[in-house]
Amino acid sequence: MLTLISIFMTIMKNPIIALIDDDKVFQLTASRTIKASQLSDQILQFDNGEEALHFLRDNAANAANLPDYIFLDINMPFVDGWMFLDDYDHLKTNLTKPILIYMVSSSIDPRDMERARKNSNVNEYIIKPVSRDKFIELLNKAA
Amino acid sequence: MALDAASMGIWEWTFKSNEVVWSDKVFKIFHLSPHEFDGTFDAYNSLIHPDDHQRVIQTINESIETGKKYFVQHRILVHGVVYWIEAVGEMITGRSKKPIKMMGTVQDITELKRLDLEREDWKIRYELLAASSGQVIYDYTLETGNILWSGIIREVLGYETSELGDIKTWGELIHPEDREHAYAELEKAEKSISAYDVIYRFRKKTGDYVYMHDKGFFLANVRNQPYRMLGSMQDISDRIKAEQEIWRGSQFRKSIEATMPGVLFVYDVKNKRNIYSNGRLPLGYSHEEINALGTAFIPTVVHPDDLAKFPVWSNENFETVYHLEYRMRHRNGNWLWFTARTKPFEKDKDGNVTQIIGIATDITEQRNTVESLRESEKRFRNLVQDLSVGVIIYSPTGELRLCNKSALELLGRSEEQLTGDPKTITPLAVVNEDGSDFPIDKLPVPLVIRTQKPVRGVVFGISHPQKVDRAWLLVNAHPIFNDRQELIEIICTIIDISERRRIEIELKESELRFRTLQRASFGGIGLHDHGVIVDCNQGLCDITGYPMNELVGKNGVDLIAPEYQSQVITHIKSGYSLPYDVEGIRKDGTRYFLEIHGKEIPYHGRTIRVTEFRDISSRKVAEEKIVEQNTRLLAITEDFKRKNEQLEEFAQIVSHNLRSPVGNILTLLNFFESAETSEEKSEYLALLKEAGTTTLNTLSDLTEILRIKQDRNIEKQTLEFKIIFNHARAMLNAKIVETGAEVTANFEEAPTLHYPGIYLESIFLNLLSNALKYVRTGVRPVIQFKTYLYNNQLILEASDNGLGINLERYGHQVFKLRKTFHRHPESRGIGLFMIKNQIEAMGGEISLTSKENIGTTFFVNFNKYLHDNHEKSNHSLN
Repeated sequence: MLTLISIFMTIMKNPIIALIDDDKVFQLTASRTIKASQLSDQILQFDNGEEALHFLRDNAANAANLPDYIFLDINMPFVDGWMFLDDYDHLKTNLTKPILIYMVSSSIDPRDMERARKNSNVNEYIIKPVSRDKFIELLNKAA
Repeated sequence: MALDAASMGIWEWTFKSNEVVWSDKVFKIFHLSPHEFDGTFDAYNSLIHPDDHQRVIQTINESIETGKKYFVQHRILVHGVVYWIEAVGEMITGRSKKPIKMMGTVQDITELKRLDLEREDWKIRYELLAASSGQVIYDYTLETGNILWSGIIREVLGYETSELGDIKTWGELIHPEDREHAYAELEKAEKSISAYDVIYRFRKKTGDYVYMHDKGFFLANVRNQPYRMLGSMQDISDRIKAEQEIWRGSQFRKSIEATMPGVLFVYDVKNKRNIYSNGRLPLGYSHEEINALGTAFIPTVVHPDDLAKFPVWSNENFETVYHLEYRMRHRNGNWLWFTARTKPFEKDKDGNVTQIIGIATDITEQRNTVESLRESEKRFRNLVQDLSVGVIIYSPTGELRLCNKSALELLGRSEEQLTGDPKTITPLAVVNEDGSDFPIDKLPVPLVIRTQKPVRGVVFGISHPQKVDRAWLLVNAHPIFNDRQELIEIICTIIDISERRRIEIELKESELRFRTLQRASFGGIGLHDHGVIVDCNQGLCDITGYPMNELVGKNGVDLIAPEYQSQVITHIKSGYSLPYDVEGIRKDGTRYFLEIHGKEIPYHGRTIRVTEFRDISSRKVAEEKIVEQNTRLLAITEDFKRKNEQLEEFAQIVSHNLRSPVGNILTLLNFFESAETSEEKSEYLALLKEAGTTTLNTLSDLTEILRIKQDRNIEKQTLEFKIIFNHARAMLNAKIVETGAEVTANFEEAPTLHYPGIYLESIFLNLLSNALKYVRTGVRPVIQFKTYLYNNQLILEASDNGLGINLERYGHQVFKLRKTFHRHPESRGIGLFMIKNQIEAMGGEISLTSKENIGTTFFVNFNKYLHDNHEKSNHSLN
């Protein structure tokens, strides 16, 4: 098993990362941090959940275009993080690639954390701001 | 010559010379030779038949005197032979007009006369015949209509011949009902020259009608034309009458046979068989079968026992009637009962009865009824014997007819002791309930005999020989009448009520005890019969404020507050026996809380209800306080819950909307510090500025919200919706013009509101701007505002035909801070959150309905929580 995972991770050397957040500052700082840390240079940016869902639906069959990681904000206009997760749950069976989802929010509300923990599609709940080390940790975790 | 041919002689008689001269022919006619006649009148005269002599002389004299033509027919007697001659003569007169001589002819008419006479003789003979048979003869000449009548007209019809007249009279005398037929038949017979044979009624001179049988024949001439009719009429009234009598008689018999209920029969005693029966024997045998059985029939069907009892007839007279009842077997095997009355019908020359006539009637049904009646009476008597109720049946004179065991036991007497004249045997020592002597004439049986009316419920005590105490009896006596309303017997029933009496006395005592007890009770106790108070204690007077004399007879329901009365009545009716609470009304009209506890008890032989009243005002007040406080607590809890929710929401706002920009500032500062180029640095600086502004905005929003939440007691004033709305609309006028929106408002139903002015303006502004913001492209915006009262609550409704919101998806976000659902440049996500806070702070509520691409309607309920929760909680704090 381990061998297989390492082979898989070798292919994943340059993973595709999706940032779903309406916060321009987060989009900027996060993408620069990921690139600067040479974690990946394939970063997809979505202002809200709706845009991201559109993308996933359109590329569900095309594994090469699908993200390996999603950083998902909770509080967004239009389709927020929770609504995204509801739709994603229906959508994921069609996806040709497994995706790890990290929920990223400035909310320290324990109810939000609890809700995220209970959602099987969420790998971890991360409180903003996210440091460079945290990004490295998260993106290497799977590897 | 002609005279010769006619065998006529000529004669001449000269009066003066008395000389008669005959021609030769005359001698021949007279059968005389010339020397036998001397030529004198005397000689002629001697030849005339003595019987005709006088007539001839008279005729001659008449002719001489009058000069008329002489004509005579007479007989002559010559040599002992009679001849008929006819002499015709004419008078010859002289100058002086005196008759000189007579000349004439004579002929022998002997043959003629003989035929004539013969005819006459037949006629007479026929008439004699007709007379002897009572016939009227007629001869009718068709041409003239004349009728020659003969026969015994007078005897039969009472008319003279002349009175009967012609054919016309004949017709008139026929009965009008028969006339037409008589004429028609006559015409028919005349045409066919056939016999006329008709019966008709003919009027006698007396006016009565007789039946005439008319038989006639027409005579025809050579041309075969009828010209004459001959016939006879015979009176046949007697025959007709007899026929009618016979017909009527048979009709009568037939109707009797048909209508008779029983069997009419004639029985031949000697031959032992019925020779006549009207055929109504209900035994199921056909006439042929009966005939076939012959003499065996009677023994076959009649019961042998009864057959032996049949009367044996001998020489009884015609008036003898035997009555018997006997059984006959129906073909199906069932025995039927008959009753029969028989009497002699025919006797022989010795006076012995040969035939009897009788009527038999089926009385099976009747006998069965009597039988079953007898049976039921028997059963009844057996039943009576075993009844536990004493039964005695008396005759109309008061004698004992029947007495069952129970009666004897109850009275403690033997049957022998009771029989006999009731007046002489009254050793019962009857007493009234109070112990006084019972008046003899009031005893039930004598009373019934006297009044002929039933007597019921008489109670008296008797000394019972086998018992120590007096036996108490309840006696009813009933007269029984027959269908002629005559008293036939008296049925007297006796019930021992000694035990019942004892229980009653005990009950009375227990009631007395109860009354004593209830007087001593503290609570109010009322005894009532279907609500009407029969008795009560002082306690009830104390509670209700009524004196006792007013309470007794009063409807107890009136002591209850009206809204509880139906409940109380229901409980009384159903016999409810658990305590329950109502409100009472005292005499002075004041109300008090009351616990009622009712139970049914026997009282004076009835079932009535004893109800306890307990004044529970103090308990009730305490209870009510608890309920009130509970309600208040619930309201407070609700209020706290809402406040808590708001706090949590606030915490969320802080964590999402405040932490985020602050965190961004920190991150950006780190990037700024580590930035290598000046372009980079200025980029981060710009972002830092923006984050700062956002933070500041959020903070100011939060401050605003906080102020709203704290500012519960913000000054309110009475506002006119119209004015505030117009103000808000003016502020958004540019946008209205730009979108071309149709904005209408109607506040007539609820024009004013007591509210903080800035809040209402904020509500209008936000709702209107919201509606103007989310319009559909290509659809002219229609925005409507109105106010109204719904369940006493003031509602503001704002509807648009804009984009609408998918409430299923976004419903939870609508009133949240910084939530927008449309990609719209102006969406800031503060407005709805703001007015929600304002509305809720004032005790109201905002909600919405929406449909995508149809539109959205917001409902603002200004005072949803104002009256029940908010106001009350305030009140409770005071």
